[in-house]
Amino acid sequence: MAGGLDSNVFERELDAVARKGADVIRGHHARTAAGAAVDEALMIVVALLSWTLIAHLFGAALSPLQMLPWSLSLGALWVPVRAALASLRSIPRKPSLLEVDRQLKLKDRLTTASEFLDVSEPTPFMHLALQDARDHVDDARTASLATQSPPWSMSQRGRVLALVAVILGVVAMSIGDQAVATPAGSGASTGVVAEEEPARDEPPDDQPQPPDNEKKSEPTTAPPQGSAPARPGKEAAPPTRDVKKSQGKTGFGRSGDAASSSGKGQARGTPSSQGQSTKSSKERTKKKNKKPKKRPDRPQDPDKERKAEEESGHTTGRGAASGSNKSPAASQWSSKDQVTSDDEEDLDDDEEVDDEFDNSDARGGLQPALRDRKPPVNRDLSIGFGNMSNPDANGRGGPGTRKKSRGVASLVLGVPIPDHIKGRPNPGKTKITQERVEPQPEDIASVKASPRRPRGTPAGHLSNPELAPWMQDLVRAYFRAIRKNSRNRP
Amino acid sequence: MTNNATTVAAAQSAAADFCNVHDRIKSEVQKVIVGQQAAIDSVLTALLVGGHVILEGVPGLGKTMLVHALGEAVDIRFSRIQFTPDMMPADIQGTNILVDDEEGHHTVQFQEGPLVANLVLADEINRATPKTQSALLEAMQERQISVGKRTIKLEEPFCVMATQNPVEQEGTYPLPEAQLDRFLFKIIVGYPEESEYKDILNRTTGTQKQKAAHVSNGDEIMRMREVVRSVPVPEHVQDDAVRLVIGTQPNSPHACDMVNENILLGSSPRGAQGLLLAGKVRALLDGRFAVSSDDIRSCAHDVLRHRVMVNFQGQADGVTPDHVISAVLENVKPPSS
Repeated sequence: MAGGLDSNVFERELDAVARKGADVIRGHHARTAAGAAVDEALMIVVALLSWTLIAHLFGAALSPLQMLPWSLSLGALWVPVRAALASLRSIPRKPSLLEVDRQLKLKDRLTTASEFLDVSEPTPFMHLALQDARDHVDDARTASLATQSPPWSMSQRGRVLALVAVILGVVAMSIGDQAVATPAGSGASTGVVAEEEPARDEPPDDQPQPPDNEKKSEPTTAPPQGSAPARPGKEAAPPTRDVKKSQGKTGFGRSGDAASSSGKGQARGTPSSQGQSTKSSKERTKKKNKKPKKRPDRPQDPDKERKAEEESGHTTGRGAASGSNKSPAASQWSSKDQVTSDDEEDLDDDEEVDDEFDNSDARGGLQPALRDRKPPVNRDLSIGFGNMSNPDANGRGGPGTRKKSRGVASLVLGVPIPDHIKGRPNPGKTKITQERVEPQPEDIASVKASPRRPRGTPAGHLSNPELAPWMQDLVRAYFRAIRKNSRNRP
Repeated sequence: MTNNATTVAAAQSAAADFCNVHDRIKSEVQKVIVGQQAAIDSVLTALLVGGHVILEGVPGLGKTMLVHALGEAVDIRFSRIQFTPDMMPADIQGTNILVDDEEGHHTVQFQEGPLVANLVLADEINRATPKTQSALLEAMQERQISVGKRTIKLEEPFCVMATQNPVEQEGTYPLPEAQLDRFLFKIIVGYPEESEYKDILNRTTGTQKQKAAHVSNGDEIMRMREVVRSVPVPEHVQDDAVRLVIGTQPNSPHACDMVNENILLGSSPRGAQGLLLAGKVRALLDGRFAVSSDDIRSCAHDVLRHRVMVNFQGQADGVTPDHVISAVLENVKPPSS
């Protein structure tokens, strides 16, 4: 090889440098993977705790408190496992050398040399590049490379998972505490827990006590044990007398009729809204007097509006305006308007309804207070479509008129405008008026030619321009010569 | 082995010569032009790779003087064309004229236009009509001009250096994309630094007029072009150049959001050619014998800014081609990262 460069030795040196670069990349990958694995670890913890809690709810003999350290340790183990797996990946030589080049600011010298080593017939410049890289490879071997750790930040999902994990952990610990206090299978302890239950659910003294017949019917109407929504941990415990007592107090044995009767009462009260009973009869009559004043005007208003639209020339908006009642919103409101009921009149927000009514009264019925019924603004910025139809026309207002092709807007949008029209002083049309007249012959006597007579009157002022001296001499000499010649004539 | 070593030594010598020639011309130009280092480097790079340059800047920044100084520093045929709206293609290419011969007969003879030169300064090129601007297309790409039935091969080195003014756009004709693409660089000439003003004043308001001397010639320039073409480009650098160019094309695999939203037209393959050629010069001037990614990225703005066309939305948002190219450079990571 040129310049005493042994390609095999140089390749081995490059391999050594590439290994350093590969270590750096592996470290980077490991840290990146570890950062990403935190989310997964949290997911593992959450999944395990959730599963344990659900299983615990369904009566499985799994203690959430015992599962908590297991899930935490499994999650904690996941991070190094992922990092280790990421660092096991093999790194090719090219990216490794690129990393070394980047860190040592070698301007791709080593990578380039690695590539040129594989060229079968390198050019002189390739040889020079190899020599140049050889000068830097020793520095690269001795230099220490830094592993750049990516800036770690917990993702949104990770934060949510961490929060969920904490909550689940607290729940598991609290359930675990209860479980520790009441080991599974001991009936006495279950009885203690059950004793406490009715005390919490006992209604306060000021509330009306259920009727006696309900109390009596409790034992007969009590649901079977299996169908009752039992609390977790209680199903396994054998039923005791205390439990039976507590069922009676918490209303488990309440009859279906009693429950349904109270529900009916609520259902009946719902549509009549609140405040109906509090409305005074004066207010009611006041509103009744208010509305008939406006109603006689109503049939005239649509005609007026239509006339106004026609006069304004909004041809594009006519469809929208006349078809406004066809909109689902309008038809619902108008239909409501036709069937007036006392309930509607007694709405709490009377004033707002009145305003809406005022605004939309002219449109043939109570309608939603839309901002305006004008046709939608055409926001099409293109410069006309020629004779073609507007491709963006969606039927809402229809295609607009053709946009101007002159003016500032068209200049901005780049519409070519001729600077001038050839042969005309100004752009634009020139009005040309032509009169077609057939030539008519005229009978006129022809003028006879006669010799010109000498002038009889003075000629008037004749200008006598000053001649330059040399011209005066010339003229003088010319006339002298003429006279001389005339004298010589016989 | 000896032959190989000889060629390697010759290549090394050629690379050293290249740097030497570059430095000589640059120092001579710097006698006339104060500052504008980047513009001088780019103009010299274009001359040494055989590319054309368009210089854009407000009046009075020395664009014309820079090209003029370059024409003086290199002993080549220099011509200047002041473009005006009434200029016709025949005014720059040449035309057949009627001349009297020795015997008193009239003959038609071709009169060469100013385009037949080595270094052509097309001053205020955007003031000419597209018809006249298009007359440059053949000369810039094929290095020949066709007038009637006559085709004239232009002598190498041939280089067009055009100037244009970004303001006073009234009455100008923006260059068509096909013509802009033929320029290797579009160089933005900015205002000089505060420290450079005093030097400019001293040089221009005194009695002595600064003038560049001939320090190189056309043959030497052609040899340097051969040297530049000999510089190898590694594969990963080629990939980087290709990805950068594709990254300017909207809806391409490497295009970022800024490109997709604001670009109407991306760079052509000529952009990648320009990146590599300019990168070769940068590598040689940096004392290296192969192009690196840093070389092509350092000249990406000059090479690509006139090859990307910002759409209406981008123009409305104030997006410039330089913004887009910066976004592309950030989005398309170099191979080492």
